Amino acid sequence: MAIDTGVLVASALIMMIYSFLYRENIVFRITEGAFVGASVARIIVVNLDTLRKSVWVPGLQGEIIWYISVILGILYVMMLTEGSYKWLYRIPVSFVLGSGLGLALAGMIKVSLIDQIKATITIPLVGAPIGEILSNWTIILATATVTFVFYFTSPREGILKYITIIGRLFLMTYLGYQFAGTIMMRESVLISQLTIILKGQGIWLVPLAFILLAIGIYYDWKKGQLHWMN
Amino acid sequence: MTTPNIEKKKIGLTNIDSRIIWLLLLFVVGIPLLNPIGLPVQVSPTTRDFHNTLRSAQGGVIALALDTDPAGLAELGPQLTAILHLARDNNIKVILVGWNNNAGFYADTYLPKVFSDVWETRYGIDFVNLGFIPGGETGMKQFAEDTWSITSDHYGESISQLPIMENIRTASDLDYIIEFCWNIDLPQNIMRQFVAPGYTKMLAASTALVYPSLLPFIGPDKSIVAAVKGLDGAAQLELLSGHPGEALKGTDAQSLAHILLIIFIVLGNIGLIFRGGKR
Repeated sequence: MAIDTGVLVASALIMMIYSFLYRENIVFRITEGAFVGASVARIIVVNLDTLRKSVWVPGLQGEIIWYISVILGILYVMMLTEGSYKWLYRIPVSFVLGSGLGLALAGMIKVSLIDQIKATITIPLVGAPIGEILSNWTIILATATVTFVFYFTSPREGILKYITIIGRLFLMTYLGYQFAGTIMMRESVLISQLTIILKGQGIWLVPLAFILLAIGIYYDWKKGQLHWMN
Repeated sequence: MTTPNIEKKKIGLTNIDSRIIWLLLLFVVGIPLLNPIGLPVQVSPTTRDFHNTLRSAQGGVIALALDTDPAGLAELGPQLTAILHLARDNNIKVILVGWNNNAGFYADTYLPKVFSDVWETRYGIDFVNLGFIPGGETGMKQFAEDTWSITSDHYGESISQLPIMENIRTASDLDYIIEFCWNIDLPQNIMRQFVAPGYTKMLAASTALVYPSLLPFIGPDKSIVAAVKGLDGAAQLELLSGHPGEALKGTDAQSLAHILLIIFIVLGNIGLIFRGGKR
């Protein structure tokens, strides 16, 4: 059987990263450093390739207008200087802010405001299946009460106090759902990483990892550094 | 011999060492991966809507926007594979693109999983990897207005040499754009630049983390026509597409991990009650 070096290296790196779950250690730090270094190197290569495709190649064909964007990009570096030309970095910043805002605003009003209001006020509250009616009433109630949670103009007294309590309950339900989603995503990452290890030749490394972990625990115990961690 | 100075700490239900939790989680996830239990998978109405909507594009062209970071691939990778299978089986042409600088590499990894046997003969006709488009939202607007503003694909092949792109001049020529959502910002950018101006309709393939934030935008008359969520959504899509894959293998592990976490939540709260609510 041929040895799959890629899978073995990937499995070893995954286990080295997961060694952090026991405690912070040099194996974890080495892998973390390797990951950061590789990521930065890749970003540099991708950006240089983008520069080649977007500016260098068109430039060679006479489209020198693209060089303006490079000059604007270089002006960002002035932010790091302390001289009288420092203000030049404001030019690219204003370009990015202006174009970003201009691009986003038009679509934002439609997508995040008008469409949302339209979708909320047009849902059927009667004459639909009972499940849908209940769901729609919940949407109306939640929209109204949660809006009041962020209403700060008058003190929360009387009826307003109870409305905001209901709104807060809806908000907490949403946050719980979101947190459950976070857990599900982390589980999926764990499953995908364990699949790489257990479904391939990486499984050969598992006993070795447990032996190294046991040695680590033994040495910590000998040095009196075996702590409960919470 | 030195006496081990083990820290004495009161151990109870509310302060179980996190390493014990990790170890149990490791076993609970690892064992079903080695010996699958075969727990049943129910297809949710949301995933069925997504599947039916995608199939309605039969004979058309869709764009897949791979805007995720590597950690998102645990859920979005199996979704992408299932969507590519569905596209191939339903004669839907796919354009893979992305505004995350990893997009080209992801497409390069996942396209061969489905199209490796026809790569030489059908690349550029049924599927293409346009790679990373720089510029964020500005790049999206440019692509939506003029898809040919991308002069070459991920491998440097000129757009004019790719038959799939011949009739795709703006995003209006696409049946759908499917955004692979890793955070809430990029899907909103797609909504603003592709959906709000009326270029095309949007579907979302999302992580379980982002899905709650997308919910207000999902619906037949809203910005996102349909969406699929997380590893469970991917497993359901694999089931519907008839191509069981990584996600279906992982559902046993995920279900057991949920049960373990629920047990810990219950134990922690029982401990909290017995301590009179004091943490």
